Amino acid sequence: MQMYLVSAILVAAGLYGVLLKRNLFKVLIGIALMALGVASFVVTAGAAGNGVDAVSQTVALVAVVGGASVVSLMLVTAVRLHEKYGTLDIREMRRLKG
Amino acid sequence: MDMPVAVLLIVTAVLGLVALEARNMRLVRVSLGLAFLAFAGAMFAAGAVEVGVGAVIGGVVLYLLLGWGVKKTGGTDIVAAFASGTSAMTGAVTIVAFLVAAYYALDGLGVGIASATAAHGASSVGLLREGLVVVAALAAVWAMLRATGRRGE
Repeated sequence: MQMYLVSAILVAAGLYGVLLKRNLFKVLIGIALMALGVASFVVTAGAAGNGVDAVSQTVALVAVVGGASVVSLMLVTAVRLHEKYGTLDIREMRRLKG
Repeated sequence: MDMPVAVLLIVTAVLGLVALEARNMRLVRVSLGLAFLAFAGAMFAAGAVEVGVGAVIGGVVLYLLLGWGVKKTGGTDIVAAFASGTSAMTGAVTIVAFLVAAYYALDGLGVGIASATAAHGASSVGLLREGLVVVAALAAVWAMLRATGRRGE
């Protein structure tokens, strides 16, 4: 229960970045944190004895690496958007779209 | 496994919040890198070695890419700290609702979720999984270089 709650807190921290930050980089960091929270939840669920079962490790690995890869590509997109709009503010981008 | 892992995961969350709150983008980058390291440490302590290795690789890739992004966009976060107005209120309510829902859902969950035993796991493809981690990370870097038209770097 304690470990699940810690995972939920990690996801909530990421959710905070996604929902309340306007800087695109911070939003992406929030997504990365959420991926870590999901991975820790899966690892906790698969804890057996002294280790973690292989299936849970695989799923968690996919969550971590997939999350990092997606955030990497979105980061490139964010830089491109900065070149186009001159800002990383998502509201400003919405205002400037032509 | 509970206590050290929980502490390291809380450290991860705190470092993540520091990364979200800092205005200096260099500090943001370092905090995010340390958050991934703390998470990897938690996974190693929990016995999930492969997840730990994946977190280290993912963290290194994100750290390097964020450094590149910061160099391109400036060293300081000049965007307003908080979204304001109704959307901010909705966001705050969503986070609180998520935590409350998670608490009650996890309370009913009991001690653990039914999981596959090690005998059912695909332990023979461990090396393949690690290879996929590296390939995924390299694919992200390649995509970044291709998108920016700088394959030579």
